[in-house]
Amino acid sequence: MKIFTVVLVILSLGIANTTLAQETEKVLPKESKYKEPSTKTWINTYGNIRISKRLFWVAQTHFRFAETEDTPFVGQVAQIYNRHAIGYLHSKKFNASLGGVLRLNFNTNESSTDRNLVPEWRIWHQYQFAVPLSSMMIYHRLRIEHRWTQGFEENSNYTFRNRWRYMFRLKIPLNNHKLKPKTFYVAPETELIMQSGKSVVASPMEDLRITTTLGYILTPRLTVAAGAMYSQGQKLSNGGEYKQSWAIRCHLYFSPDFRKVRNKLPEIHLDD
Amino acid sequence: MNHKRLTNPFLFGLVVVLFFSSSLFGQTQRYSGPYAIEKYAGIAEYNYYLVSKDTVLEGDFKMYRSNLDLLINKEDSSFLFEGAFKENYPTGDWIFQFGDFKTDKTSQLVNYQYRVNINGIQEEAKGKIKEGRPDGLWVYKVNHIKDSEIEKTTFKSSIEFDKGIPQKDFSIENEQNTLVGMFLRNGLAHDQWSLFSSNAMGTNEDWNFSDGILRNIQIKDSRNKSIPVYRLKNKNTKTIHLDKRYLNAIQLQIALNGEDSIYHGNIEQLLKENNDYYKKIDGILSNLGRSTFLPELKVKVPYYPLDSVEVGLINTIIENNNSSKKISEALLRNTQLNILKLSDSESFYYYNIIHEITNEFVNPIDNFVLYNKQQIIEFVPREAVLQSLWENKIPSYKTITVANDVNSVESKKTYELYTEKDFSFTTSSSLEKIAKIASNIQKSLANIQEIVVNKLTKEQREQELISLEETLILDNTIVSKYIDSTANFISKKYVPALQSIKAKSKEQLSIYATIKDNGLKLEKAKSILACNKSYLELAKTTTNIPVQVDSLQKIYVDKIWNPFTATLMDEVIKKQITNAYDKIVIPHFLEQVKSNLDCKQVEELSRQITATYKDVLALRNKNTHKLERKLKKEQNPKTIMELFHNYANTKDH
Repeated sequence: MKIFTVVLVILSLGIANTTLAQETEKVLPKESKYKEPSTKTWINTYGNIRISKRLFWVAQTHFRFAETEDTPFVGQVAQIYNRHAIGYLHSKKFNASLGGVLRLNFNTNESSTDRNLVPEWRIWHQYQFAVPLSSMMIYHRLRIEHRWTQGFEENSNYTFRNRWRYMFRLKIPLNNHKLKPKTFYVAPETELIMQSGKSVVASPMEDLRITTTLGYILTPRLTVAAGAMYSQGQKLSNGGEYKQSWAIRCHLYFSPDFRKVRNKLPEIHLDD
Repeated sequence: MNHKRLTNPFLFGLVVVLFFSSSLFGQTQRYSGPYAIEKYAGIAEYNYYLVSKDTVLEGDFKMYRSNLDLLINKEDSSFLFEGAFKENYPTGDWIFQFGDFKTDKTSQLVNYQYRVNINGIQEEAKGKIKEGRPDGLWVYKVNHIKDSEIEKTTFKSSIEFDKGIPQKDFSIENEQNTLVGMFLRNGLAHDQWSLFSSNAMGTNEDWNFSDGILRNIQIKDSRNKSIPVYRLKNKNTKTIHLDKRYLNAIQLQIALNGEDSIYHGNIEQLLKENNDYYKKIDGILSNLGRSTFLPELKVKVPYYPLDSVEVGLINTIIENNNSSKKISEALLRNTQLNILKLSDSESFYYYNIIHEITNEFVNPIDNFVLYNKQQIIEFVPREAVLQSLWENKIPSYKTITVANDVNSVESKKTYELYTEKDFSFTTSSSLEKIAKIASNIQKSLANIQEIVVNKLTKEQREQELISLEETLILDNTIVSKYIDSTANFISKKYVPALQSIKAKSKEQLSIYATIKDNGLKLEKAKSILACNKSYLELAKTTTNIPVQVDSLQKIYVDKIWNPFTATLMDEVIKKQITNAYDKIVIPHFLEQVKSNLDCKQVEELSRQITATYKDVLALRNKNTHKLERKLKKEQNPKTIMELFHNYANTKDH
């Protein structure tokens, strides 16, 4: 519970920070403006490699595609994520991770003459609560990211922002009474991503993602899922403008355990 | 005696002889001390001398015992034998007393003596003995003593002897009867012997002897009848003791005379009682010196001596009839035959024959065997014996007709007895006839026995077969029903194997049905019986395979942490093992069940199925990396089972 308290403190501090840094340089429109939704495709791999009884290595690689004028969803590569962390299994119901991200951002502005590829660096930590309810599972995920981004222009400076993310997710088994191998499940999720930083003046809500995926647990170590996501969020440059998107998401979850049998046994009970 | 007389040479010689003789016989010595004869142990006082180390009693003899302690505390058996011996022969006056006394423990002092009252029985025999034989009047009394006085006499015999031979009048009485009679000088019963009963309802009878021969018996009651005994056409007589043998002889004679039996045993009882008392004294005297103390009551009987041929014939008769009796008793008591005869006409028929033969022949001849045992055949004419055995007539007939149908009283069948063609019933002697009948009957019975025993054995085997067949059918039904009952839940994969077990079990019965020979049938039935058990076992084992597979599926899993769902999930482990078992070994088993249902292999197959399951079960917690690698390539079920077995039985770590 201590960890939970720490997270809350950090969160509240962050939100206070954003309110203090209000600026009114840009003129906000009288009414919010919603841009036409763009289309994207995310192909994400989630690796979770057990390294000891309580520690695991989080290794995620995400390929994100964006539309072009000719091709919706998969017209061009937009970002490649490399997300790594060391996770700690506190119990069945709570785990936490801390690590870094290297995101490669591709310039998707077809008319731009700027750099085509810029890196983005992040430090992230997350706290996930898992709650069984009846046959399904409920997850609360708090993720805090400290990101350094730069524009595609030559010699542009790194901008530091914080991201405050909360995700609420369900996993509901469809053909079984619980989540187990050979089970289809549906996973509706909603994630609110808030941001703060000097550059964030009137656009604290970076993104609201509403997703539903259909997953299939092949084995305890391998799951696939696919779904659709709708998202909207304030543009950083003008809080009155909202961008929207539709995304196809394809996920591969894998969790190998290379430890020797002898170390694996007895089975993981953690603290129950 | 004066000295002058001693000069007489004759007298002198006599003195010398006497002197030497007395030194020859040695000096008599006196013994006084503990002594025991038979069951009597007490104090003896007597004189004796030794002749070549043998004790010779001479002079007074006294032996007695009485124990005051025993008398007061419990019961005392006292005795007193007093008399004299001459050259080891009891001679002169003798008295024998035997007492069993108790006391009421009241005592009184009379003339400086303590007196106690005694109760009990005292026997006393008194008389003279001459050269070891009773001589003169001997009286034997048994008195009941109450408060030290004679209350009543329960037995008394008075017999007068002359050197052991009973003479003149005698009387023997007990509480019920009195026998009075007389003897000739040679000891033969003579004239009238009378038996009086002290009971008004008892029989009074006179036995009339003439020179030892019993002529008739006069019954003196309401019948007032004279029963003739020996008419004495035969002059040849034999003198015998009046004992049980004689009484049996009279009994037979009276029966031969066609008279009713008068036998009531009263005379015999008295004579026996008397004899027992005399025997007691004879026992004591014989142990001390030389004597013959038994009273020799003699009678004469007609005598028809047996020659050696006749003795031989009698032995044959006994031997054959004993054999016949044994056969008939065994068969008539045979429980199986007794039950079978109630429903089976043939058994009924043979039972009836055996019964009839026993009544008609075996039992009558058994009477003859009894006469021989009683040693009285010599005292009756042979022809008469033959007639006495069969009241009607000598059964020279050769057939016996008896009922032969359980359900019909009227239906009868005739059995032909064994006969010898050469034997003539008209010209042969009585004993020869009896011997021939006994031998023929023995042969007939032996023949019947063979038939009946064969029949019973066959019947027994058939019964056994019937009960076996019932079991076979029942077992087959059990197998079928069991297999049918699995239809509701068993997976299709197992159905052909189970059906083939069912078919095979039925097939066994069909094979059995074609066998004609009963012996082979029994053998086959027994083998099928064992087989059916194996089939049922295999059916159960086969039905159990899916259950075992299920349980293996449950066991061959590990709990795995799924970090994406944050749940524990079952992961199937060691798939190579379970796959080899599910995909290769079990199909192999099912194939074996279908094709290889030889009864002998069924049991082995059941065992193998169970054993392999157990091996796989054990492999769950074994280090099986190498095994799994080997299993990847292996397709041969036998090799796989072998691998399973080897790895299941190795020790890990």
